[in-house]
Amino acid sequence: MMRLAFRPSVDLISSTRRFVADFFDGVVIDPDATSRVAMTIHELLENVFKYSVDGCARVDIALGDREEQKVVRILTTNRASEDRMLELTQRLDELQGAEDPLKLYYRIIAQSAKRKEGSGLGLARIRAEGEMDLSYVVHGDEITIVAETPVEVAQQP
Amino acid sequence: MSVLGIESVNKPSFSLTPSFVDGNLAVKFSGNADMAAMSTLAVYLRSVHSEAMQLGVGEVTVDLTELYFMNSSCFKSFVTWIESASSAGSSAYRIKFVANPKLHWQRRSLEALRCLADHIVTVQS
Repeated sequence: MMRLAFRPSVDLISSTRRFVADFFDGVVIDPDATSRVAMTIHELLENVFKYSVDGCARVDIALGDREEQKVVRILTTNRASEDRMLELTQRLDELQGAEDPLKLYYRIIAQSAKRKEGSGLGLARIRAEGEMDLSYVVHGDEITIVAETPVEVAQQP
Repeated sequence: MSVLGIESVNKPSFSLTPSFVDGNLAVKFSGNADMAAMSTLAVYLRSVHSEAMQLGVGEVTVDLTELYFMNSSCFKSFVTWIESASSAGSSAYRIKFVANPKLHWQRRSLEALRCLADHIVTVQS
């Protein structure tokens, strides 16, 4: 498991994405899976950068097991305002409950063209393009978003 | 002086290079389209749209073969541009993305853009 606790900056987000991609390049067989994990890290950290009330983030990245499958599990934890927390949990509930994540993603993309601020696409992109299962845990003003995807590993790290 | 009304953009981690050759308008993207590129890209794509309309081109080529990453905010700028191009009525033009198959994120992201307006968007790998 890898744990990072830091205050993301624009440059740090990109360098973290590159570091994670380089790390998983030697662990995961499919380069497409590595690319999806890297994109997920980037989008989650940008969310923290934009919406965390104190700018701080804790990121845990682990290779774990789920029903006899290896999975990459990414957790980001940060504090959020009440409004942002509501917006986040509503979006995550919508994504979790979607029968067809791709169809929902395309609908959210079409809606995003009309948005004046923010894209509103990050989490939907993680779900659809990243093929990540998403869940979350809330403790007070702190939210942990969990993104998880099955992977085939080259060897045990 | 350039014939084009849009100029190149050269930032430390992101660059945009327009060209207009034999009636073909093209923009080459290089580097990483992340938060540092977001506002530049949004303004730039509006300029590309204006330029395409003014020149009356039938197609704009977007070369992404050296674009290593794009975040969702920059992706949204493409969504807005495609919507503008798509709703330009008789002046509508096509948008052709040239992708790099080794950059795996491009396949899904560009397919999503194609599905948004498949009558004007094509993807070439």
